[in-house]
Amino acid sequence: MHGKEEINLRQFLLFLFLFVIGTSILLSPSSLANIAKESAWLSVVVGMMIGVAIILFYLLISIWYPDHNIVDLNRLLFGKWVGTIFTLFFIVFALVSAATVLWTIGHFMVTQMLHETPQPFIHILFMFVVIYGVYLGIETIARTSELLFPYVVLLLTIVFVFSIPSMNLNKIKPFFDIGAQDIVKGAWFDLSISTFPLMVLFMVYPKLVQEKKSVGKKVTIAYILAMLTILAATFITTTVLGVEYTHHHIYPTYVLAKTLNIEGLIQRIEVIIAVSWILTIFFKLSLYFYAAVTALSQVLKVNSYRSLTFPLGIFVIVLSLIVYPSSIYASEWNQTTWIYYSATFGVLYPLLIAIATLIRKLFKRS
Amino acid sequence: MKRRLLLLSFTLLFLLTSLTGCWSKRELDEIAIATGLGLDKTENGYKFTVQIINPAEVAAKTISTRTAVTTYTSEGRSLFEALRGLTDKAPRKVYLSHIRKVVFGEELARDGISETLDFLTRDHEFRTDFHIAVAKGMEAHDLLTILTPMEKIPANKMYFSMQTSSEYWAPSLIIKIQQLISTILEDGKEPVISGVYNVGDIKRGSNLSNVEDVGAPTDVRVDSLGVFKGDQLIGWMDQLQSTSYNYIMGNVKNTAEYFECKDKEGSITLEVMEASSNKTVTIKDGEPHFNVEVSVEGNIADVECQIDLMKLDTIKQLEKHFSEQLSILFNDTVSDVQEDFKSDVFGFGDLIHRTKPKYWRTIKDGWEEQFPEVEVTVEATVKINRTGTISNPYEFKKEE
Repeated sequence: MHGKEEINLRQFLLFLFLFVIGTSILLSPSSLANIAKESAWLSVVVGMMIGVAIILFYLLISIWYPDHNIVDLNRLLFGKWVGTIFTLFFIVFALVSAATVLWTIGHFMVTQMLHETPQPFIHILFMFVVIYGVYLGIETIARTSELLFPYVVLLLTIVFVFSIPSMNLNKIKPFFDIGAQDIVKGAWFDLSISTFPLMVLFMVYPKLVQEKKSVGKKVTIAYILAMLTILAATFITTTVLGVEYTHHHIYPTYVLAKTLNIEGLIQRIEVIIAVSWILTIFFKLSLYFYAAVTALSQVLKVNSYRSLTFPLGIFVIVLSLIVYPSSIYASEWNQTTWIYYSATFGVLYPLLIAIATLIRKLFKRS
Repeated sequence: MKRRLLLLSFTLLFLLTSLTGCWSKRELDEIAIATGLGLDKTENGYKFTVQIINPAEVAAKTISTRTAVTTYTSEGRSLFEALRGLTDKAPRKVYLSHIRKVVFGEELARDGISETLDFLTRDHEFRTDFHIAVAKGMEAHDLLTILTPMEKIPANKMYFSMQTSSEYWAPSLIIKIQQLISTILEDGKEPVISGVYNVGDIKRGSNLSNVEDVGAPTDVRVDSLGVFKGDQLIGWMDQLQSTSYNYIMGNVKNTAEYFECKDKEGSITLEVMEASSNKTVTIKDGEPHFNVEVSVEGNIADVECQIDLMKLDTIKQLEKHFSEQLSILFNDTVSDVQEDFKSDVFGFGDLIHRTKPKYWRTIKDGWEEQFPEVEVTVEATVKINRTGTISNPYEFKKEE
């Protein structure tokens, strides 16, 4: 636990992949089927195209400032006071996001599997693992991601491949029958849970990843692969379950896994499949939490962020219990508040950084 | 070192107490595993019947005088109330994840089933792999009390009967809840649900003596389809209509098809090995015309008239003859459905919606009235692949 922590590019790409599919593989299909109806899959495609541009923009910023993470950047660009305020906003964003992710997994477990277990109990258990992981450091989490990634891919492949026989393309016809407005709205929603929060990853990226060769290409590929996974999830749930049925369910991907039946031989495996979502959500939560903890430790000028993990972890647990009073609130919040909240950090804030950078450059020249 | 030990023991203690998974554990002897569910209408709510496995009997190696299943019935204003009302009758809490069959009573089905579908998908214990059926002309409660031979658990018997017959016998059809809900929700499509009914005396059927008989005098059958409009049952298709329905929808996998010989003496039966259907719609003068092509491939399985099968011409003639017979049957069925039920079970409206969305928007609201009037032509083509293991039929001399 001494010295500077470092992760390699591959580990970062895995983070990116797991972070993108994290909660959205569970949440997206239902909301997209509601917003974009038969064209839900098209929304993901549109989202992916916009997302690539956004992700490259994030990358550009980190290429400009290879040795600065968000806290350093804020201080550098906006001065000590304003910069600190921005950093505090960022910390709150990361903490709220962490709490919502924790709530999502807790709610998922309680509605679908552990019906009589109190939700706080699941939150506490889950968060303890995250606290422990972050306490051990980002390197440990990165290595864990390398270890568990194959399982995530394997389990997802099982659901996707074996659902193909029950797909019925007629269920998403007519193609392109819905206004472009709704498709973009769906894309926006998908971006708000999968892509905008990636900003948080750049708390991790620039300082910790030393390898900078052909980063752009690799990051783009990893991002596209992750979005293709969401595309597959959306496409398959809507074609197998039908648009109406998908949007009436809170977790349609789980329902999809429930319907899986391979010649009567392999069936009732949804809980095993759900392990993959628990894993991806673990990483998403860990990264949010790591970003919040390290940013706060930098603001407070604490030597090691580790002393903050436990108290802040407890804070996240408490926050997660109050962040959504109910699932109805959650889905409404996701569709009304969250899309703007995450866009503030995912679009507006990077733009602000870019503008500030340009102004700085201009001043330097003159 | 000491600190490590302390940390380790703390962690172990934490894991020991938190990961046992005992929170809401229910042992096998504390739950009543339900295999079948019957829903009926009462004056002010629902009658809820569960068929529960008697575990000791199912696993027993010796024959006893107890039945393998028990049914419990309870009434309530809503389904969930009725379910919880069961606890004062059944000794254990009913566990619903292993439901094989949900049966609606005919009266409830005629009144509308949509209210029950909410509970069947909202409750987390339900899975999605059970079959749905309507008890034809009877209460679901009565149906669930019939004991069946071969399969000790009657709900299983219905499940497997339906499973096998949907694969090898054209009139039957499996409907699962996800399909049913989608069909009711979507425009231009109406559901059908297969009907289950008893043959023989119901009272006798609920007695163990029923299965002690070789012929099992009381049994359940699964071969007819109930036509719905929205969520209400409006009528039953007979066996031929059900067959045609399944052909037109492309549901037939394998079946036997009976044809009369040309001179009306004797018959030829075809074992259908493959059947597919293709529906298209064209719009002429603002009116939709539907064209359904059903292609059937099969082998001759049973010849009961004198015919020379060894000639290429005969086979050609038979194919033509069979195609005509099937076409007539299919066309009749479609017009019968249009006239008698006025319910678009074939999903013709959905076909317009999927292929001509702009046109659909103009006729969507009047589709219900328009459906009985639209023009539908069904064309069947039969192809005979093989003639079985013998060539010509035997020429037996008949006693006059």
